[in-house]
Parts: sequence; C-alpha cells; structure tokens
Amino acid sequence: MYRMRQWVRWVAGCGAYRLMYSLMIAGLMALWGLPTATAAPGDTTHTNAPRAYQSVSVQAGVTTNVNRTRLHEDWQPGVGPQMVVAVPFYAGYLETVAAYHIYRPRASADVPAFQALMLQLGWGLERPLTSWLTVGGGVRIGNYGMGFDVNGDLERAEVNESELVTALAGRFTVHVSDRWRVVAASSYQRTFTRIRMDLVYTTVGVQYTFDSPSWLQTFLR
Amino acid sequence: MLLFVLNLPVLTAGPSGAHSSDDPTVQVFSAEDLVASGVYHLSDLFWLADDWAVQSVDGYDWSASAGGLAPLQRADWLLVVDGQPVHLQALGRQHIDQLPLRVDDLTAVEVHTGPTWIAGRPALQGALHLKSRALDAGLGVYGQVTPGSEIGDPGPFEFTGEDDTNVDRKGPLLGATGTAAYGPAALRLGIKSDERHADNFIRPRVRTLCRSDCIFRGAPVMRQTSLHAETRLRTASTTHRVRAYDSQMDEQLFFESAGLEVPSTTRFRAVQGMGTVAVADRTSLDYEADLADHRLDRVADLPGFDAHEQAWGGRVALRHAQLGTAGAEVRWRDTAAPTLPNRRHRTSQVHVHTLPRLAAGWQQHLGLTLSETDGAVGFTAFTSARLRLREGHHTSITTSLDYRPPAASADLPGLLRAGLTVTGPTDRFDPGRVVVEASPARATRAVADLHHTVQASPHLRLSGTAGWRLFDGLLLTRTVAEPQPTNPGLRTSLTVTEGRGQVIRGGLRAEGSRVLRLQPRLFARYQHVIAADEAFTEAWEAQPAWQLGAALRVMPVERLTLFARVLYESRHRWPGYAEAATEAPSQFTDTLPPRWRVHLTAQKQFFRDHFRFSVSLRDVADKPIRYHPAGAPIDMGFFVSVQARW
Repeated sequence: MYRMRQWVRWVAGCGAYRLMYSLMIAGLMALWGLPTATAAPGDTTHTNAPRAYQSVSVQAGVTTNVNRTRLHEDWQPGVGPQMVVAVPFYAGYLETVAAYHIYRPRASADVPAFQALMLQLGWGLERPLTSWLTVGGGVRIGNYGMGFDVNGDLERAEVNESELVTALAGRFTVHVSDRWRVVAASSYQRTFTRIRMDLVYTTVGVQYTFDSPSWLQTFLR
Repeated sequence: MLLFVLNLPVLTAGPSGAHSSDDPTVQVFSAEDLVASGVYHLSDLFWLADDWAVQSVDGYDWSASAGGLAPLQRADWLLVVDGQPVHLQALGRQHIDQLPLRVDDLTAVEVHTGPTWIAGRPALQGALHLKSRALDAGLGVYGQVTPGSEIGDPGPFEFTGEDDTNVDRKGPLLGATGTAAYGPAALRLGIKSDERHADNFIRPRVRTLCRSDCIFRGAPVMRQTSLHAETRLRTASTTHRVRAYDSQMDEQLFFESAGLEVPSTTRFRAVQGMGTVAVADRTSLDYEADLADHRLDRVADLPGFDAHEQAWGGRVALRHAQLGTAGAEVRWRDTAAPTLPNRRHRTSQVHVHTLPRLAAGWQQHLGLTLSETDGAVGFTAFTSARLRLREGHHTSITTSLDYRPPAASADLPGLLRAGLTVTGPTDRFDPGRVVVEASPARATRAVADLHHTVQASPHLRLSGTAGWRLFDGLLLTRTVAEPQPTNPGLRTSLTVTEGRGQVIRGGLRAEGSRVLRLQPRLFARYQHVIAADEAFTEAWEAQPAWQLGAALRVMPVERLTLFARVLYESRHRWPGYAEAATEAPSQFTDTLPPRWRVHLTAQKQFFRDHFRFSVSLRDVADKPIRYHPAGAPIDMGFFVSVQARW
C-alpha cells in the first residue's frame, strides 16, 4: 500500500508528458505480458511462425511537438513531416523513423530558428485490440541533427549539431483495408543536449503494407 | 534477460576478449569481438582490455599502462603490428591513433598485460599486438563511415547563453582499404580520415595563436589523414613484407608530456620491411629494418618549438623450430629541436630466447637480452614457466629483471631536458618551467607474477593472479599546476625526478563457456603501492587501485550481435593538481571519484555480411573540464557505423 501511495504521489507530481511516458512504459509491459506475436505492423494474420522481413510497412504523416519545456520559452514548434518504415522481426518489429522538426523563435527571443532531422531505429511490439484496431509501442534510438539559421556567422556559434536521441513510442492503428491503415501515434523523446530536451510529439498518418521483394529480404537477412 | 523473455535461440555467443588458454596474461580479441564491440579508434582498444589503466588529458591522446607495470605518464609498452614493432613512441608520447590502420583492418588483437616476449624481444611493460587481415586471393574492398558524437552538446541553448561549451573528441571517421593478391604477391592500400573537435572555451586563444592557419568550423577541428601501403611476396622458402605509413594530424591542441597545449601539426612517417628466409631444415633467418620519422611543427607563436625525431635500425635473427631464437639488433635515434642540443643515441642489443619442454606438463621460456647504449651496458632477463600440475589446472610463473645503465636512463621522456626553456604568451598555453632535478642513474625493474587457472567445469574457467613489481631509479615527471590570476588557464611546472617503490597486486577472473547460454566474463583486480617514495606514490595514484569488470557478447538471432561491457574503477587522483583544484574547483580537479564505465553496442549485418550497421553507447572522456589530471570526467557518446566489404 505504501508503494502504491508513493507511486500515486509520483505520478501526481509529474507533468503530463512524464505521465504519458509512464503510460507508454505500462503499455509496453502490458504488451509484453500478452502472448508473443511475430506479426509485422499491418500484418493481420498474427501467426506465431517466424515472419522476419517478409513484409514492409511504410507510414507517412505529419508530426508536431505538444508539450512545453524550457525550450519553448524561446522557440515555438511547427508541423513537420514524418516517415516510418517497418518490417517484422523475429519478435515484434524493427522500424526506421525519419522526422523533420521545425522550431521558430518567439518574437521576444533573440535566438535563431532551427530545424532538426531526427533519424531513429526502433523496435516494438504490436497487438490487435479488435478486428479493426491495433495498439503498439516500442523504443527508439537515433540522432537528432540540428541546423541553426545563423546566416554563416561561424564566430557566433555552431551551424550544425548532432545529438543522441532516445524515445518511447506508442500508437493506435485503424485498419481501413488489408493494406491501408490510419495511424495515430505519440512519442516521448529525450535529446541528450547538456540541458536535456524532453519533447512529446504526436503524429497522424497513413500506412501502407506490402510483401517484401525477395532482394530486400536477402539484403536484410 | 531479454533473451529469456523472448525465448529466442542463442545462435552463437562468446566471451569477448577471452584470455589465451596458452598464456593467461594474454587477452585475445578476435575480429568478431572487435566488430561486435563497435570500437573504431585504435585507442578504444585500451577500453576493451582488462587490467590496463588508461587516462587522457584531452580525450584524444591516451596514456596507457598494462598491468601496473609502469606509470601512466610514459608509454613503455610495446606496440607490435603483424610481428614487427612499430616505433610510434616519439617526442614523449605514443599516440596509437596516429597509426594509419583502422580497427576494421584487424583480424585479431593480442593484449599482453604482463611481462612478455614478443616479436623476438622482451616487452617487460606489456604489449599490444595488432594483427591485420590476411591478404586473400583476388580483390577486396573494405569501407567504413562512422559518425560519432558525445552527448551534452549545447544544442539550441547555445543561443540562450545557458551553455556555450561544445566538444566532440569522437568525430567522424572515414576509411577504406583495398587489397589485391595474385599468386605469390599481395598488396594492400588504406586511407583513414578522422576528425575531432576541441571545445569553444579555448577558441579565442587558439585564434590568437594560430592566426590564419587555424581551421575553424565552430569549434577548433583536429583532423587526421593517414595512408598505409603494404606489399607482400611469398615464395616456397621465403616471405617478405614492406609496409609504409604516413599520418598527419592537424590542430592537436595538447602536448601533455611537456605541459604544452598548443595548436600544431604532427606527422608520422615510417617504412618497415621484414621477412623470413629458410636456410636449413627447421631453421630460418628473420630480418627486419625500419625507419620512423616524427615531426612536430607549426606550433603557432611558440618560437622555436618545433621538433624532429628519427629512429632507424635493423635486426637479424636465426630461428630454430625447437631450439629457439638468437638475434642482434641495432637502432639509432636522432632528436632535434631548436632549443635543445641535437642528440643521437645508439642502442645495440643481442636477444636469445628458447622454449624448452623440460618435462611432461612443464614448458619453460627463457629469454636474455644484452644491450649497449652509447657505450653503457645493460641487460634484461625473462623467464616464464608453464606448468600443468594436473588435469584442468595450469600454473604460470613469470619473472623478469631489467637493468638499464645511466646512459640509457638518460633518455628522458619527450623533450624534458635540462635547459629546455620555452617562453610563450602569458596564458594557458604557457608551458611554464621545466626542471630536471635528477641526474639519470641506473634503473632497475623486477617483476614476478603467478597465475593459476582452473577449468572448474566444461563451462567455467577460473583464474587467480598475484604479482609483485619493483622499480628503482624510475624517471618520473612530477607536475605541479598553478592557477593563473589573470586567465582561466594554469601554469605547469614539470620536474623530472627519480622514483623508487613496489607494487603488489592480485586478481580473479571467471570466463564462462555456455554458462546460462550467455558466456560471460568477469574480472576483479586490486593493486597497492608499498615501500615507495613520494614521487612513486604520486605517480601510481593516477591508476585506480580497484578495477571490476564484466563483458558479454551474444548473437540472439542471425546476424544480430549485442555487446555489453561495464568497468568499475576506484577513485584515483593527481596530487600535483591539488592546488589548482582547491583554488578553482569548478575548473580543475585532482581527484576522479569511483565510477562505472558502460559500453553497449548493437550490430546488424546485412546482405550476407557484406554490410554492417552498428550503434554504440559508450562512456567517453568528456568536456569541459578537460585538464589534468585526466580532467575529463566521463559522459556518454553514441556512434553509428556503416561498414561495407566485398
């Protein structure tokens, strides 16, 4: 009971984004507890036979930052594109994520705008909730490449910078047809700058799944 | 644990860097170990090795010491590439990354932690033996792109004034090697380009000193470009090899041994030849020759501080398959610097080594070297008994004794000579004062090591080690850092003095073989200084007394490898920086607290192993407090590597 109270206090003391982080971890643990699925995102058969690399899911959408931190006192996030390519793995799925993040300076701040290209690799699990709805989630790690609009002022600062980024991601997938899905996703990402950038992103997009060509399977194996 | 939850088969697994069953002091890293660990700088090998102490002032140029055999301040261990020593040590340091080879060029690394006999010579302070890939018939191409980044960059907060330090000591590395072999001839060509960054803190000063010569791209950039070429020829009774290295480093900011932090260019060039000619049944003649050239120049506004060192020599030896080896070697070394009298040293040595099997289960190494340096005579004796007392129990007893005459001892580290005075700008680039107190006298070193290995079960091998080292007349560099009132730097006073002391040490190691299907490796080591004078005690305080570590490599599914290593180091310190740490604790430190270093790598191979992609997270030396003593605390770096071979 004491531990439960501690946990409730901890959750109550957290910001919304940290709560989301916790829910994602809980969701992953819940997925973990379910029978292991080896299906790819978008694979409706959900058999237990190894199906690594046998299909490819391509997801395209838009993403934006929704939480507020120290960063947002000087910058204001915009909407950027995101693409996810996933293949089934021996357990769960592997994915690569590319997203373009835009930050514009607020009027009151004397700072340059910057854009970030986030490239990540991830692994996750997915489970069907109903015949038309699937829930999934996983972990990601990658690079957060930032470019600052300093107009060539090399003496002032770095023009580009790269930093480690990790993320927890979760999503709901609505099955529109055998191959087409609509995806609503969210991720909590931490960029390891000296002053950490903890950002929550939400994404909506569409996903298309197709069988892997044999050359791609050969390459991936 | 993940593997059990997923209930996946473990296809293969091995303890990365298992110790040799023949010699318990030798740790062997196979190509698979190196690849799985994701390391890509040669200096990263120090982090994989058990029982080596490593330290860096700048996170770029590493000091290393094997098995408590030497202080960290001078590199006395031997670097060997494919059976031939590379005389990379010059101007007071041994910068292993200056070697043009890439980790990807290696097929194995042998780490000799104790006194050893290698390449026909004694290496009483340990050795690192790099073995390059065999030159297979046909054509081969290997390529590598590895961007690396340390965490903790300022990111957008650089513009808010909250954080303006930025440094990446691990920058991108690009490299390629091509091989061709046809019949008896083979050729290898390789190129390596490496880039790392200094921190913004010193940028204004670098600019002042460098003027237009400096390369600026945000933070000062240090670049290395290196080439190597090798050709081999093999006939029925002979083998011959010629190898050439050329490596240039720009904007290297720290020159630790002389206490200098200056922008500079260093260049290392070497040509080496070696071969074997069969002269009779079971008897062959081995020969070696090499010329190494080190140049340090373009040292900005420090007048006259450019230096040049050349070493050349050769060795011939007769080797009998049963009786052993007898050889003779002569080497010369020239050092020139405008502020110093030019010096030339000559060293002649005669080596004899034999490996008799005295009884069943008893093999005895015996080695003796007589040396002459500028007319003074010294010697090195080495013995190692390998005993198999009973089934599954192996014991190794190694002893060595080394006596160096005063003339040889006079070869002070780097440029530290009586009379060296360099006057630079009054800021942190000021090298300060150099004082040589001691008149170099004879130096004696003795080592005794006992190793016992028990094959406790088919799945578990246990080892215990006890060792003793004696040093007398050891030349040590005592550093005293004095903070400067007018700038954020410090003035370094270096004193060369003699040290005397003993080190006792012990360790335990467990190497699993299919234990829980994961084959782990665990080790612990403790060392303690006794009967030592103040200079000796201070020098060894830079090495952690305790080291605990564990490593694991596992392949959960086909062509996916996971590697993990953790290392605990107890507190260690650099007493010469006590004053600086007291006066400016936020900038300098004299004590590094106990710490864990973590190294994790995941790697996926594609297209029948032709492509490899790896992601690593590693604790690396970090900014911004990057001054003595190894001021760099550790922080995490991440590295993505893409490699291709055909």
